[in-house]
Amino acid sequence: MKRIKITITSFLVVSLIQAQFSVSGEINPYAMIRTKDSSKINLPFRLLSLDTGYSFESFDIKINTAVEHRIKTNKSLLDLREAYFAFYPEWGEVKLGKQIHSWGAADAINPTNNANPYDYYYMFKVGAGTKVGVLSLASTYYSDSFQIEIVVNPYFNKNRIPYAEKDFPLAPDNEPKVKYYPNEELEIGVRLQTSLNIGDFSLSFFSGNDRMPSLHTGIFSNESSADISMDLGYRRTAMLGLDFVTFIGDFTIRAESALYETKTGIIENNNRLNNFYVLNEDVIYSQYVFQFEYTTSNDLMFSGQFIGSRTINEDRKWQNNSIESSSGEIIIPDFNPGMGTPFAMFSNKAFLISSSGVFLDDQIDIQGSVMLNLENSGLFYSFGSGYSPILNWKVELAATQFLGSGKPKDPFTLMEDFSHVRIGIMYNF
Amino acid sequence: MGKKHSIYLKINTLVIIFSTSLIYGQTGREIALMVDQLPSPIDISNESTMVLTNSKGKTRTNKMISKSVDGNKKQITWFIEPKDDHGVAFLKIEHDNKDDEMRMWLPDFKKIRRISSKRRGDSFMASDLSYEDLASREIEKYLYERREDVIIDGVDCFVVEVRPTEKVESSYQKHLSWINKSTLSVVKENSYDKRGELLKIKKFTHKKIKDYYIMSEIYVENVQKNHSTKLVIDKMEVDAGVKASLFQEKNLKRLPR
Repeated sequence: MKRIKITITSFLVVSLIQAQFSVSGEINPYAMIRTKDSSKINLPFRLLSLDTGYSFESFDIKINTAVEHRIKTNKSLLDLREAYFAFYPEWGEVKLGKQIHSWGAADAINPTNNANPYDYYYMFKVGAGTKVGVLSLASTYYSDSFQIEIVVNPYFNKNRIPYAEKDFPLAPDNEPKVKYYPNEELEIGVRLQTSLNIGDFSLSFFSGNDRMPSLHTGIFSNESSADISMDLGYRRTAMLGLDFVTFIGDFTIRAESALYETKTGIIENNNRLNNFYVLNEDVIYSQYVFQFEYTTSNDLMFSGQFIGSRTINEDRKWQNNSIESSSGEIIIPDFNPGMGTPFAMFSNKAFLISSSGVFLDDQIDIQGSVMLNLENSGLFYSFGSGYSPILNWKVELAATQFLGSGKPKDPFTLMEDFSHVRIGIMYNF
Repeated sequence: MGKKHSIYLKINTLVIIFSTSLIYGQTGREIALMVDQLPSPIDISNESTMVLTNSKGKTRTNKMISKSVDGNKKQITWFIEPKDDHGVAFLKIEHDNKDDEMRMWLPDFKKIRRISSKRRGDSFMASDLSYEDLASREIEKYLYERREDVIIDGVDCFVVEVRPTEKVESSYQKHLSWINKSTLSVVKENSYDKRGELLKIKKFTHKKIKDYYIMSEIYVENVQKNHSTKLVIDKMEVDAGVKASLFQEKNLKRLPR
């Protein structure tokens, strides 16, 4: 026993001597002011992001935390965004713990990136900050010409939605009570990437559960549309994805496409109610992004993204004790995808133009983007700039404006109230 | 392997010294070949500081760690400072018969992004060095013309004009290189843009480590922008046994110890 203790102590001492600690992060207080009436938008933001790491030989421990703050209530919340253990053998890497995975070749909008739920509070940000970390086991094998990644999520995870947030126009008024949670929680993803002279090509597969709830059952009075109660649940969805990056002349092309098949799980009529109906859905839908980018000799980057989604095949019906209700008796609501990029809820066809550049030795950075709804007349545009007079400090100013089609249910119209100016300071350490 | 390599280096060095002392009537290409055939380390590891100075004299400092093998044909660089770039890493693999591969690890996105290797004239981390400046030059893809020898800062130099051929995509029309006759190391180079106007003045300082003359400082001035970059190698190690397997995507994600 004493020998074991000595061995463990020696190992820990040697580990501490040879190990490398790293701490980095940012402090980023900001305020969002509504363009319409100069009122403050009361939403939380990440005041502090802290990335800590501990490396020893082929092992890493990574912990990423954030302090989320809300100005109006002056309340802060500690968020453990990631905490995982990584092992790097000669052939690749193995990671276990709460982590964020990033799949897909396109920038910001990635239909194939489904291993983690989205954090809708940060849906207009870019990068891993838009995602919620989940407990998973991931491993990647690297060879000279290809790599294969496997992700296993043992538990079900849902999107973080800003329920009952009056200042977020797309937020539901209340958090709905979800009755039907997945019977099968296990989620598996596989991604195969090959590198060729002309570019990188990837094929991916993900089998998991919807991140957004959808209507599952209803109890109707006298088999009419006048419902007594409706219950939500999460469907099982499988995704087959393809993405690539290639270079044509001075242009870089990044494209990504995902095909989803979603099905309602088996739901029993436990209470043997005659007016209990199940909305059985079996839908195939797709989402895609086609992106081209060009960088000028002055390091100005221009990119264009064509973003689309469409329902390919749908079989959706209310069923009562395995007997289909006749059409017209009970209204079938519109189909809502529960997996994929959140931008699909804005439009089925949109075009996003972005540009960014840095000036005066990285002291000034400027970005601008315009998203055009190709289906209706909605659009949003944003402009952002950062000025760094002192190294590691930056003053940020950004503006986002939404213009809807005028139709009340159009997301662009709803988001008009969210148009705002953002002022903040960022300190990197 | 180590002994064989050492003998090979010694023979090479003797051949070069013998050659340089006897044949002063070489052509530009022969001088370039001599420079190309200089013994070079199997691998180089370094920590460096890059100071950018703008026309108003304001500076910005970048720190990075880099490892390379095969005469810089495979290179991995991790950025340490400025802090907003901390953890960003860059992997370059040059190929003889196909396009080079360049990838960047962006920690904020948790993503490795393949970037075009065709735009070799793009600036490297907002410095006055372009990716082309950092790449090795393949002899057969350039034309060399010897100019009149000069003495600069007391160093007797060959002067060679280097012009890219159609086999290579270049943002330059030509370079004028000053090569130290005794060490065959490039001490200065002027690079001209496509219009033939002077664009960059580069000065190189070399340090002898083991049997090699290795660049320890690079000063680049973009005369058209009145902007300069000074890259100083703070720590350097050669032939330290850097493994070929280091030049994999997964290693971009881990800062070296």
